[in-house]
Amino acid sequence: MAKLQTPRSKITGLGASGHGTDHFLVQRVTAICLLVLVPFVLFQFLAAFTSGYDAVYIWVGSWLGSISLLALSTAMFWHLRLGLQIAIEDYFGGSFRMFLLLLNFLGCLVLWLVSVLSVLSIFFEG
Amino acid sequence: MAQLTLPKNSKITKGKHWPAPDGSDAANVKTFRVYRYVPDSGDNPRWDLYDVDTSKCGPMTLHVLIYIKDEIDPTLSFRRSCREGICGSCAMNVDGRNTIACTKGYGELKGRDGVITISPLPHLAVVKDLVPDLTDFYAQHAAMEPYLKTTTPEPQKEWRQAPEDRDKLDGLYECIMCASCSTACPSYWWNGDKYLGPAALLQAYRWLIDSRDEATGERLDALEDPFRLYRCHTIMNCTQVCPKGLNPAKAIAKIKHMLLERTV
Repeated sequence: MAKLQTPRSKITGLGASGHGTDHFLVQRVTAICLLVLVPFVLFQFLAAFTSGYDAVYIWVGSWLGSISLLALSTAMFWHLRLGLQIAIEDYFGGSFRMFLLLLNFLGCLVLWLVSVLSVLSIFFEG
Repeated sequence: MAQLTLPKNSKITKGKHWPAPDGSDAANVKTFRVYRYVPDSGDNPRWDLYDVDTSKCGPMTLHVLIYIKDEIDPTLSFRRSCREGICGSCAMNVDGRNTIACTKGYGELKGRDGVITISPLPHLAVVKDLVPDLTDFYAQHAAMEPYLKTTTPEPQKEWRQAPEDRDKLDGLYECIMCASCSTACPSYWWNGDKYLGPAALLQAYRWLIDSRDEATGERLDALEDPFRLYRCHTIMNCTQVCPKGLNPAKAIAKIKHMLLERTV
């Protein structure tokens, strides 16, 4: 049987969730951070890369290298999570959407943790 | 949610060809491919081809449709009223772009192989032929409570407004609610049940910046939602197709700015 519901009730649904601006703001802040960090890290990495493995290792273990890499991975995986969340919400619905959103969160969290721990292990070893 | 498979009976079949009457000047004959669908019949939709002698009708697409209905095929259904771009009734997709048929001259359209395609507004249920179901669209507009909301006792004469505050409403109040913008928006296609769409949000902004309105916070509360407002990804189709030359995308950006201002 078709659901008997007024159009207004259908459109109003469960009401406004009261958030969304935080997501909008953080997505833009991380995007600006990436605009600065990606060329900065890439330039430093390539400069070290031309001198070989040891130079890269020393750069990652340095204060500047480790802090910039930690900042980059944080901004990158946070931004990735927010961007993928938008795509999932756009194209999927129901419980599959919930599952994908959870997967997205956990996936990005794991990737972020792996990158952070890798950088920190080199930093503390060096 | 995106719909990846077509609903049952939605494949458009080839329909009838209505040739121009004998004696028509071939130089004046233009062919129009019109979407025809009667949901109650159980048949698939079809494209009917009409060869129209344009010397016998006016220059606008709506003139052609009225000519077809009057002279060729009275079963064709479409909405129309003012025929001068004020009521928004005749909104449809003409030559691949949402517009209002009464102000879109067919002479300016290229068509495909000279054939101009006319179909209903996209991604809405079809009531018949070129008539879409706008029930949800109107409900979204009503949900914006498009009227002055105040708590201050009503003044004896009128709510006064400075001319510069009144100027802020230009480019917003002119919306004729034709639904061209909302139905051109992919976000509205995929999440039209939750996302309010450019037309409703333009209307929301019109009341948000009205200096006389006292419910700004309440209106912003109703919009702060990942789906209601933030489904807008600034695709800008809305602004591109608006037959009145309005800019709903800018209005939505301004709402986001107001929410940011409130948060930060």
